[in-house]
Amino acid sequence: MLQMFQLSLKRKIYLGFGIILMLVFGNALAVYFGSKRIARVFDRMSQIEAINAVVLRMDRDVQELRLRADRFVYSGRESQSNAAKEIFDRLRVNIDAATQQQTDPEMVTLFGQIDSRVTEYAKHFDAVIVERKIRQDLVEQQLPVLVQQIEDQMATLSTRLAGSGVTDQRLALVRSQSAFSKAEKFLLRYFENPDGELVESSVGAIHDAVRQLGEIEGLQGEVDAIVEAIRDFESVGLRAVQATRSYLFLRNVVIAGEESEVSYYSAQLRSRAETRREFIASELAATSNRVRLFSWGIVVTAVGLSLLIATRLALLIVTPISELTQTFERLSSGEVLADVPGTRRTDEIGKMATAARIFSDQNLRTRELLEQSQQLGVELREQANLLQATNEELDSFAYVASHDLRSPLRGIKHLAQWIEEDVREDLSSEGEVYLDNLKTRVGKLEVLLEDLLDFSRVGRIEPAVEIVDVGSVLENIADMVSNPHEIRIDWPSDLPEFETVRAPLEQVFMNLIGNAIKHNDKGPQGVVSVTWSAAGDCFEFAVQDNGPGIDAANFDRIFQMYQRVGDTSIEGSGMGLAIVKKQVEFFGGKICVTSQIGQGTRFIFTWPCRLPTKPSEAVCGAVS
Amino acid sequence: MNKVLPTLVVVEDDFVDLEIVKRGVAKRQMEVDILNAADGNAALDLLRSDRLTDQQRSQLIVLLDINMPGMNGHQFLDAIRADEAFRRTTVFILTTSDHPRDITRAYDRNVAGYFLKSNVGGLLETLSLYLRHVKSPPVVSLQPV
Repeated sequence: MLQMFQLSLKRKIYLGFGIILMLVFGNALAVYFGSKRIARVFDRMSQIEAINAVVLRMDRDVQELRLRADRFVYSGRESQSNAAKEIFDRLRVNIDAATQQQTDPEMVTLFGQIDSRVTEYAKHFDAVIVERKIRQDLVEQQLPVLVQQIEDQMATLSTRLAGSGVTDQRLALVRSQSAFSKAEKFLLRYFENPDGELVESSVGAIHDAVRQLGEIEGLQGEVDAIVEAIRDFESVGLRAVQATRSYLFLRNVVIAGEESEVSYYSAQLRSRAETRREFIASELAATSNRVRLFSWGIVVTAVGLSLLIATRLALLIVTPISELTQTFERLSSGEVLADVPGTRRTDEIGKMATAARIFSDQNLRTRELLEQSQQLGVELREQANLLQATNEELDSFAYVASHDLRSPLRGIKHLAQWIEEDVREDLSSEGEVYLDNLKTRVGKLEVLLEDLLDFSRVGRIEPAVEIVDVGSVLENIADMVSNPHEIRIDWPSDLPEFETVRAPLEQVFMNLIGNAIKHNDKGPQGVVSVTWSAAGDCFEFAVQDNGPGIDAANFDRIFQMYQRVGDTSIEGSGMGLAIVKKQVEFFGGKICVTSQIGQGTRFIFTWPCRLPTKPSEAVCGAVS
Repeated sequence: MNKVLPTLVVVEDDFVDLEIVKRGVAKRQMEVDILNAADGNAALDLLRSDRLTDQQRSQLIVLLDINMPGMNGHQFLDAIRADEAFRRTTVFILTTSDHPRDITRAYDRNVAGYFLKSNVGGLLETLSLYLRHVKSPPVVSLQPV
């Protein structure tokens, strides 16, 4: 049983089905062999039945034979004897056939004895026929002739006697005639009813007739002829009686004996067959009983074993699987289980349980990760909030600072201007230089503050949404931008026209194109070209120049506040690209730069085709 | 004193800004008297004092800054528009704020114009035309305090 626990479920199921199949097959085999055996017994049974039928037929034939024989004996007709012979033939054939089919030696002996009896019977019957024929011939042919002859001779004698007139002799003749007539009648009656006394009476009458004739004198020749004829009659009659006695003896004693022998043997045969039949019947009953019992036994065993195996398998499979199902349901709802049932098993369920264990571990890990990520999320949100607060603070600081610094700066500018207007001629040459320096620095500071203010204004004021023709925007810029070298500005004629905020887009283009012109080192050969393409739900604009290019190491820096790369002699606050980036990202776009030293620079930014109803928060992050 | 000049009351705390106006006026040789108040309260005091004659009041124009310490421009506007004597007084705003809220609020109080300090020149040109062509509202006698 321990071995069975270690088998895999698949093997267990196969094994179970194999056992059940074997039982079913065994049952089929048992039924097959049982039925075969029963059939064999039935075969023997039917053999017995056949013997019975043969014996029955034989009995019937023997009876008929007796009938025919009797009839033949009494009638002497040939048809009866022929019928009897046919029956003999039939009997022999039947007996032969039955003997050949028999295997039981006792039966064979019995059949043999019957056969010899029947042969004897036939032999005696032939003798009967002979005797009967003889008698018939004597009685029907010879006797009537003799009777006629005697009667004729007596009639002739009577006539002769009548002529002589001797009365006594005529009387003797008449008495003799009467005695002979009596003798004839007795004899004939005997042939109808064979009684010994009738023969004696007939012989007596004949003797009487002969004695009466002896009384006649004269005519001795005629009398002796008549006596001779009467003696012939007597001998023929006696011969016929003898034949009758002979065949009656044969019929009544010998043949009857054979008959009873045959009857005896046939009775023996029948009883033997009956005994065998009973024996076989009991054998059949026993066999079928045994087969039934055996097959029942197998069926019951099969059903019981099947139930046992099925229950065992069901318990073995269903219970753990339903447990596992519950386990998996709990696992899929994210639970972590301290113990998964069935992990110690070595079969498929054990493997599944192991999988569930791993699942549970994964759940635990996921939960930990989730907690970590939630923790991180909280931290990130806090960081983001902090960052946003910082950014807002920075923006607001930038705004306040640039705004509030502007006023005193303007004051300084005016004061310097007034000094110049009012007392320039009184200043020393150094004083003039100082004053010029003062003015220059005030100008720079103004630009710085103006750009800082622009930067802080991104997203602070909500610009109006209108239909903007990008082409006209670029035309405006081309008009406004400071372009001392008349650098060419190209843009395609099919620039989009769409609903968006004009001022921020213009500011972006202005800064990019302004930078491209300001930093261009090709003089009049300088070219700035604007291209565009539709990229899903936004437009992608590119501003390309053939200027000095930017070192890739500075790609990040150029978008930061107050960061300047390239030629420092070129005026600028370092805020332009920071403003561009802030503006683009504020409206949900992205900006990037591709450039190589000496190969020009390409700024690519996206701008949404449709502005969101509320501009997204500015995203702070590195530019790709 | 054969002729009374129009009076320009500049409500401005910043010296430079006041100086810009003064220098602009001088540069354009505009014939105006300039009085200065450092905040709303000082301006109200000035307007209600007897430092201004009725002739001066009949040609009175106020240049008002919005962002000031003390009473600011809006508060000052609220105060004079609530005052029967000054509710019609001509006021120009001269400020650094271009915030729409400030502009709207100023015009709600019936200012004659809103100018940014970066555009003082524009204001002064407007003023010279204004003084030449526009009739001032009639003077309302001050109620005895």
